[in-house]
Amino acid sequence: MPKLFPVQEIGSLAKPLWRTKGLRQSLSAQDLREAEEWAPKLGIDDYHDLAKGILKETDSRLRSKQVLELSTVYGLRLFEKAGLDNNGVGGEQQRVEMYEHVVKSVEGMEFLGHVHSFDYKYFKKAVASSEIRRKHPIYLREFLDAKKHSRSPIKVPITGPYTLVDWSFNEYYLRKNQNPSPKQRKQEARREFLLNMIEKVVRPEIRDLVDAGASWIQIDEPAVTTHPEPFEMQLFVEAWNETVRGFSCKFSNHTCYPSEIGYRVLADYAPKLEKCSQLALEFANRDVPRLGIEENARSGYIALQRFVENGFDGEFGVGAVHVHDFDGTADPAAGQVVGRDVLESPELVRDRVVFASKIIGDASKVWVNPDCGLRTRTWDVALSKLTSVAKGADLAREVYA
Amino acid sequence: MKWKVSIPGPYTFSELSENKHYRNKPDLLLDLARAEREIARRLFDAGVSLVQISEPCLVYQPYRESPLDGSELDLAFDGIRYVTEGRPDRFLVHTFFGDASPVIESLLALPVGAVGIDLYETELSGLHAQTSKDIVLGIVDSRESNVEDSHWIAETALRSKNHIKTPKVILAPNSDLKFLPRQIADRKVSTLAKAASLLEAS
Repeated sequence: MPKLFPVQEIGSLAKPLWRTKGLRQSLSAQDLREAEEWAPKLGIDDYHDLAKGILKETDSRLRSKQVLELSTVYGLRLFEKAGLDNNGVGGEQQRVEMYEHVVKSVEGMEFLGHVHSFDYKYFKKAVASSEIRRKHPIYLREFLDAKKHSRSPIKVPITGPYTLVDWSFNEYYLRKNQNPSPKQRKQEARREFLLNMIEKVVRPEIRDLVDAGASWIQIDEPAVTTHPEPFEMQLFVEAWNETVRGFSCKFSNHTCYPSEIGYRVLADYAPKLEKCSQLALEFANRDVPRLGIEENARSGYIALQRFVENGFDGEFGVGAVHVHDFDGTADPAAGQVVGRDVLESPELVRDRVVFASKIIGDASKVWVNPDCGLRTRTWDVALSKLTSVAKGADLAREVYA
Repeated sequence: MKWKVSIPGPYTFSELSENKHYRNKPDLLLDLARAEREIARRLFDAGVSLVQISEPCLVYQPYRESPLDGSELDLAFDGIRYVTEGRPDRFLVHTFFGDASPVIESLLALPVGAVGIDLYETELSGLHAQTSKDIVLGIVDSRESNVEDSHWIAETALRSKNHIKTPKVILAPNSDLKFLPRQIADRKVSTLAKAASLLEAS
């Protein structure tokens, strides 16, 4: 009988300075201070040998590889220390950021420059200026390093094709399309871009990962809920089904922060996703740091109901801790506010898990995780939150025993 | 030089706001309409020729639990009527990010000088409308870097007149150009100007 409430992460961890600097410049012993400080905390016993190697390395490409591999090791050990059951690829240490990392490996796409995304945020947006295809593997190196060093099963997060296309300009496929209706032309060109992204970039990547031994791939699609119109949601379903077709691998979806629209629309379409074994969703950020499992106690988790009512029958990765700045108050039993962080207690995690399980109706379908990646938190805070998640899952197991 | 200022319409403004003060939505909407009427008055006094009332929420609704019903639409239109009362020709209502077809007749009946639609969301081929008002065609896509060809814009604008009979077609981007790199935004404005000359010449 497998353990109830397995614990996982969603993806990212903050990158330490030595990881960022070490990619482009040689490191000094001073630069590695933070690594040295964390080595005993995380049980990295051969730290001094590894550090010596990096400090002495004169070939910058070899040094980069060593730094990347070491940062993956740190990420894996941090997740292990917290007590997670699946440590992913060790905090996505080998990726710049979820969009850029993929796009720079796509032939036919160029970065156009910084573009306003919303509010005061800008991002480097790329354009498909000619027919696209993958230049070389994107996540494989990181997966192989994780496989080499991980002491637990591995879930590989990848950026989904719908998001990659939505966050890009589409010149090539628009220019190709001759439909005189601007609306139809735009829709047809978008679909063609998306299907190409799947066929020429994402599926070859999944093929390489599965051939190298990957048995679980999490497809991140933050763009999905930003276009709740039926045409777009159907396009997403078509894209998902085409992406996973034929692969013998577990697939899960992570979609987060849908804003006021909420998860309602995703809940309506989720049952149409083929081979979607799990939906990893965020709830903690919309929930209050207060204990309780009575009917109206956990407003943040009510959104689960619609998924269940609509007939999604897979697992849920339930977001049990917040991953961004917090500016409210927490009941002392539920957590502690330290600066801009709320450090949730295991009891709060337990209550969230128990509450979610009641809505889902089948505790064996519940996984526990942070709301999203932890890259905006310090390692101390990330470790504290993840440890609470693991301990909270333990407490929840006791409730069900 | 003629100046035009865009403001979010009272309906859109109220839809995108959280109401913590007013007893009900109509009260909020009316107060917004009052404020916008005053804003427009001051803009005209300062020399602005045209005020654009942007109302994407009249055509973009997937965030809603239930579709927009007749009474809510009436309320929205009342709000617009309040803003434009007395000088309809100084106003334009512009819609974008959604299909204007379901509300086109009501839009065309508003006391405004021009009505704007987003050609990247409104399928013209199913439309048969007629109006004495000007039509603003959102004909250049503010969300794509592809710079539209001026001949294509002119042809598309001419074709649109088969579906909406209007004395004048005005060429515009469908929405704000701020989501594009600046040079591309500039090129899009140029291509609109070229298309307009092509249309004038024909």
